[in-house]
Amino acid sequence: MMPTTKECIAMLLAGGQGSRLRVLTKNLAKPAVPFGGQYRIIDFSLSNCANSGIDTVGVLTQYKPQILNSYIGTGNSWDLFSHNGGVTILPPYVGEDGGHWYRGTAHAVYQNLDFIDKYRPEHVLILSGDHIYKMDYSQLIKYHKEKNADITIAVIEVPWDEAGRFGIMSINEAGEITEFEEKPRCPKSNLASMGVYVFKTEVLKYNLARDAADPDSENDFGKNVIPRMLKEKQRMFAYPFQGYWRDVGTIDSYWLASMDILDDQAPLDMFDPSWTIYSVVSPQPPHFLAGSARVKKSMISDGCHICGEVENSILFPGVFVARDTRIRDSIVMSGVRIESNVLIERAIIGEETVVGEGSIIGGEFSGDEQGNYRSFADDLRITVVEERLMLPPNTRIGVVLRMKRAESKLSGVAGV
Amino acid sequence: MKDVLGIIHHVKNEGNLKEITRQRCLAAVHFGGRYRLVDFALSNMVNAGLRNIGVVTSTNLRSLLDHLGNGREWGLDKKQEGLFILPAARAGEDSNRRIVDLEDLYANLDYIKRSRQRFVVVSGSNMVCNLDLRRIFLFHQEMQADLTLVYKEDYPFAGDDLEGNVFLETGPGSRVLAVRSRPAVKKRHRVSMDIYLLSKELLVQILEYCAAIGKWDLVKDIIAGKTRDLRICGYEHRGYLAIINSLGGYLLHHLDLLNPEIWQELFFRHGTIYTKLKDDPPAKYFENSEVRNTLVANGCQIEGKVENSILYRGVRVAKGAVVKNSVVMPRTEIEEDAVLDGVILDKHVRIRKGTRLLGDKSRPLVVPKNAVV
Repeated sequence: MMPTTKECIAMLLAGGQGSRLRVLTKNLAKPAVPFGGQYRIIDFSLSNCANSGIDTVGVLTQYKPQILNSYIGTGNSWDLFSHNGGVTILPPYVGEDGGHWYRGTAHAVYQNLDFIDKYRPEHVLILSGDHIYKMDYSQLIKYHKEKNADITIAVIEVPWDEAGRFGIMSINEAGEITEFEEKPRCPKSNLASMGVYVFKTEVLKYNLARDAADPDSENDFGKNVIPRMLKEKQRMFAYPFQGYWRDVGTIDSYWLASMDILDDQAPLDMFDPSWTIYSVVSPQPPHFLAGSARVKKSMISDGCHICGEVENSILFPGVFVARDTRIRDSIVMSGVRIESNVLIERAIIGEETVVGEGSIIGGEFSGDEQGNYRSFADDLRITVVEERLMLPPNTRIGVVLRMKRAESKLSGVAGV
Repeated sequence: MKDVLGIIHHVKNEGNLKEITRQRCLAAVHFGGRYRLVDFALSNMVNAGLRNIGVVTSTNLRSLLDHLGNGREWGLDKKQEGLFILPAARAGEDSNRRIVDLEDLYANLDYIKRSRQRFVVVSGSNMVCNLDLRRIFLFHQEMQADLTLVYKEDYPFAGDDLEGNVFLETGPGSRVLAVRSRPAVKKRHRVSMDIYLLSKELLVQILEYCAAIGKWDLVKDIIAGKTRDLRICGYEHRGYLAIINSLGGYLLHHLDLLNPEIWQELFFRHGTIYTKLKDDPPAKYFENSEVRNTLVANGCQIEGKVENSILYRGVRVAKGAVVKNSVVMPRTEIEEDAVLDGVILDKHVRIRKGTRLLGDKSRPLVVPKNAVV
């Protein structure tokens, strides 16, 4: 058999729970969370691979992987099916000396060095499956090779007042990384790590083996491997990325990134024919807007049937919206049924939930009248309704955090 | 239904659709906002459990071949059986107007003989419906029929799509007594849906007989003369049907889909209608869009006003543009302040700023593929 060699393969970290997405990740891993009416979060990274000419991707899964595994399948939805490469799901496994859960991002890749060796790549691209962005990795790899770097980390400028939420890099004039701080209180730079690294394969193997042997390490790229490389003055470069990039790790950031795509001039162009965002497409008929429908500034997927009003919202495939119902500033997942005279504002409705007529979800109303349904919120007070619920008529669900604070107001509304 | 072989025959009488069949064969004509006609016949077969399906093709076949690929979207990309493209007897030529051209099937006799199935369902592609072939198979067995034909009673013919159809006269026990090219009576006519179920043994006999006598039309040369010798039965389809063979009908049947009951039935009733899938984002509605009573496919971007229309994938309607009573095929662009009413815009058309095109629902204006107006 011919030995296979590749310039670069990708290892995509997709095992994260994404607990800050709360009920959205109750039954699936964060990369599998639906986004943008047609996609799951991981589609953006996988499409980037396909569009950048990377044809071999190992997807490292751990937390609730079933939906993600069946979604990825053979990878042919992203045109990543090939005889020498393609997409391979890499779950934790048991070997002769027992088995291990993936202890951290670095450990997950370390456990799969055999997979990397099979392709004998010169470089390995490490990606995470939880960001919304379009990026040509071939440019990053080109830069990495030009600099003859051991590792190149993609960075993006973030607003100074938000820099404290990211891993922040300081660089010198040559673009070399001089300092790295995880979530600094007083950031010295506003260049944030995007969680996208390209390593020389040998450098990766060396550093991962050493990290795995260190009993004090948490086996995480950001916390352990990269700081140690920096301390040892390995050749580390930052690649400045320009464009739209969002971490959608919280309900607020998820909602904000969703609203971004509704702008008339959306910062992330999903309609660009030269950079297709691939996904598993379902064969549903075109959506139907009835005579009574009013839709503005929204994205509506195939299979929806809309008789009511939809504004500034995203509807996934197969959503039914009855007459005299208003949906504003919301995200409605696949197969949801919303009966008549319902008001939904600033809410996320989970898959296949049925909202009974006369209900009010989110918006001005704050509180859960019956206390039967769980809803959560961050600062933006987005109401999140779990998947596969049957909400009876006249259900009121608002934001739990506000419920305690606004008890007097709640009692006033309870009679509605 | 593993025991039934499916064949989609090449419909040669394209009726009055010349302006949209110039670029593609009838089976590849767009319908329903994201589909092509062949999808309905093919999905009905797949949803009934057929696993071995041949599609006959002859002329203008690039669109059809591109669309079908290896049959993956219909679950037909199999190691054994699956989807087969069957070349017609006379490649590139379809001037004979045979209703079901058995010469095409005879050219593929090996494929038919070698198939493991004992029954064959032969279907055209321009009869749009969502029907359950399993029920027709049961009916065929219960009736101990030699040949079962599917028909629709009192089909409401719109415009000129009456031409080129076959009408059945039936008697007691659902027996087909005669076939005609015009309905014998105006009321309670029974139009054939171009679906035929028979045993493979009988089909092979018929094909060999045709080869011997040199006549090849299943309807005119076999069925018409054999209603006594063969037990031919008619099965009534009670659901929705659209016969696509005229431009007026083409637009009107598209508008049928704006009835939610028909939309629901045609796309979901006995299973999903499968089609070649493309990666398009959901349709995007802008701040000032105004859309009602319209079917919109993924990938559309709408800033203008749309009413009573069907927009296929990736259509753009710019600010100030107005589209009414129209069918707009994939990737067509309608620029600012254009006004369209009663038109069919083919694929990749560009309607320039301010253009006004007014047709009529029953006599729509057609803008051909790739045109700039």
